[in-house]
Amino acid sequence: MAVASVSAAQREERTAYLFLAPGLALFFLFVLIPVVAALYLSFCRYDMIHSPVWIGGANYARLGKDLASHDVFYLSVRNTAQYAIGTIPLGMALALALALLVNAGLRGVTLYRTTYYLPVVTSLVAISMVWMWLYDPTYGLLNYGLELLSRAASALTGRQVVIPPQTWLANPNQAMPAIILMSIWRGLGYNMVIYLAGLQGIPEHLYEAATIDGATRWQRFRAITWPLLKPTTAFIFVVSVIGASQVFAQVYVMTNGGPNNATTTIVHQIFQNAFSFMKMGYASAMAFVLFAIILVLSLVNLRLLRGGEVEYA
Amino acid sequence: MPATAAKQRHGFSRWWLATLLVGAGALVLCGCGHQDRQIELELWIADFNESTRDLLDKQIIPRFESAHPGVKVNTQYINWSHLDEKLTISFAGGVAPDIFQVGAEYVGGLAYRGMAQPLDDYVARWGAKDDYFAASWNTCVYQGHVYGLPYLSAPRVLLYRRDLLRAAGLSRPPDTWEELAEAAQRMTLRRGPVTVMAGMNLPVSWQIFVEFLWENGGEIFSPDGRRSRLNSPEAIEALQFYVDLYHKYQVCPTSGMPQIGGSIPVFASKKAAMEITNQFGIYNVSKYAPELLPQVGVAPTPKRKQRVISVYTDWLAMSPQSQHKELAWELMAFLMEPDNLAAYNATLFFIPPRRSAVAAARFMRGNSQLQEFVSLMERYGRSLPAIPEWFEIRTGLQSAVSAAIYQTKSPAQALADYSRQLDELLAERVEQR
Repeated sequence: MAVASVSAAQREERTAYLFLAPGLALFFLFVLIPVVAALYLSFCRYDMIHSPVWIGGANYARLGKDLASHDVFYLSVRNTAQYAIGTIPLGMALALALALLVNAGLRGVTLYRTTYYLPVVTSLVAISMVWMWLYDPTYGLLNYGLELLSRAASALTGRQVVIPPQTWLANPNQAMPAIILMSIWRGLGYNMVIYLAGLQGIPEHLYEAATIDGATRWQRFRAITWPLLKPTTAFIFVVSVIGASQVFAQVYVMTNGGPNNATTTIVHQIFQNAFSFMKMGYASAMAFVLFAIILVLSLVNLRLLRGGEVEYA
Repeated sequence: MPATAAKQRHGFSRWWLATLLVGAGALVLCGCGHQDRQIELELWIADFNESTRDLLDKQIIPRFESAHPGVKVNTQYINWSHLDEKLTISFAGGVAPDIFQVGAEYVGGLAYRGMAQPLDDYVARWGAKDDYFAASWNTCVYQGHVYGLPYLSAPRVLLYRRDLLRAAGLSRPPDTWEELAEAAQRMTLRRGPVTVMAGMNLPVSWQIFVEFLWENGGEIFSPDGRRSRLNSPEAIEALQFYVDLYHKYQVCPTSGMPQIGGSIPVFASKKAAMEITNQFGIYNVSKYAPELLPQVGVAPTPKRKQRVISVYTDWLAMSPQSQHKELAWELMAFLMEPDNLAAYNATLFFIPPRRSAVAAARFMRGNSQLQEFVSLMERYGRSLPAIPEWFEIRTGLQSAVSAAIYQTKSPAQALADYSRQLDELLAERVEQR
């Protein structure tokens, strides 16, 4: 009997592995092997034409030196941080505000939800092209708006007021804020839907009890909504930090890292070094530095946001 | 009954299997026969528009194919923005195109990595080398070996408005840096904070800096190409002059100026009195403001210590991975025939890099402005030095120039910082060798 039950368990195990095999094969082939290969290449000089040459930690040493002397990799880390700081808090706050509005039972909620979610399912490259037109110095909608403002101000004050048109993406001081603005708009729908799901998971009776106790709308938000949304906020924050660390497509399409490296990011540098400069080893080292950054940030985020979870009976 | 049904099913399956096998065999045989019959050449073109595609696909390539029975040319049109990646990946995968078009900075990198076939023997047999402009030809030469054939050229000159020059009380275009600054200031017009006519239209570009550098007697690299020369007094002076045009003399377009960076270029939209540009400056005027064309003069870029016209040439390279090198060479030579070269350049408004092709180019006949481009290229033309690391250098140099123009660093600091990086980059190559 015992023998029969063991062999049955073994059979079950074998069957399980058989079913897992296609998934595992794909995982090994397209994830694990490339990751291990990239780790090896990060210690090599490799131009993709000739065989890799082992150079030890030289690529990492060069990255360290680049960071210390504020060269391009340093700029890419700084710009990525600026992008994250610019997009995440504001993007999350706007998403929460929208989710609260949509959750308040307004008429046409489905329309709002769909409208805000549309950019999420649209190609990022297509969106970037559209925003390039908006930012166009001559024909762009933004500069047209400035012109209208100039006219309105002139009409109001009775003297000529000129708000000069801006070059936006061609200006080192405006290019990153311009990309940040577009990215917030693009990511709003996704965060809003996640917040909406979180809001709909909060039991209605908690609000009813608080209302009976005389709590104002703000007090209800502070004591019920915000604490109970903490896991949702933590999730959105972690996902946003990871996403912001990997920003690439809009930078590549809209500015290609310029002007004057004002918008180059870590992933943009990885791409440029790998495929334009043919320095696959150096690019791989950058990729592992990015991996380390994301890992550390995620661990810190989870630790900070995990504590003090609230539950109401 | 079930047994009969099973038998029928088996018979049916066998029939299908046999049909499939016969079909597959026929396909394989067809494929073999096809391979025996036809040689395929892969050609990648990066400079193209609709007219170019029509010309190559409907005229030039069919003529080559009919002269070479059994040869099929697959032409692929690849945007510049994706060319580097596609080339790298195709070489890494061992499926590089037989012939591919590249730009002015490519020869060093391709030759150094073994991605371009040396063509010295073919060229010696061909005997048309002396028909090319020297600056164009040198674009394809690395360490004394030829790696390609020039396909189109773009010399950089000074375009100026004759009418505005006269109105400013000047009888001739500026010939020196000092005259350039003076003339540009006289022709700049401002209304309040807004510049309405820029004396000089200059993009923020490393190529413009290199032009000034050479005119000032400076160099980017040491003669052996292993050390930076960007921290020399000549280089600092050149970048300072470039920065001064923006900030001291304030003759360049500003962000407050209408119609900057839009679809109509500044000079063609009558918002600049002069610009340093290539033949596209003429093209843009003829397209957007043809009435202005008689007022546009072509002059050499103003000199400092010497006269230099920088020439940027795109060229065709052959892959060492090509299985049909003789045929690939024949196709290259065919594309370079004066009439073909002239017709190709006409579709893109470039200057043909070959004298006989200039003579054959109808779009250049009687066009005194374009003929002046040719004359200046012939007399003062210079191409970029062939260095394997140009891709990285052009990015780094652009950052250094931008930092100075946008005033995040002084010209001396920007060049000192970049010169140090450049030395490190060039030293890596020395170690590799």
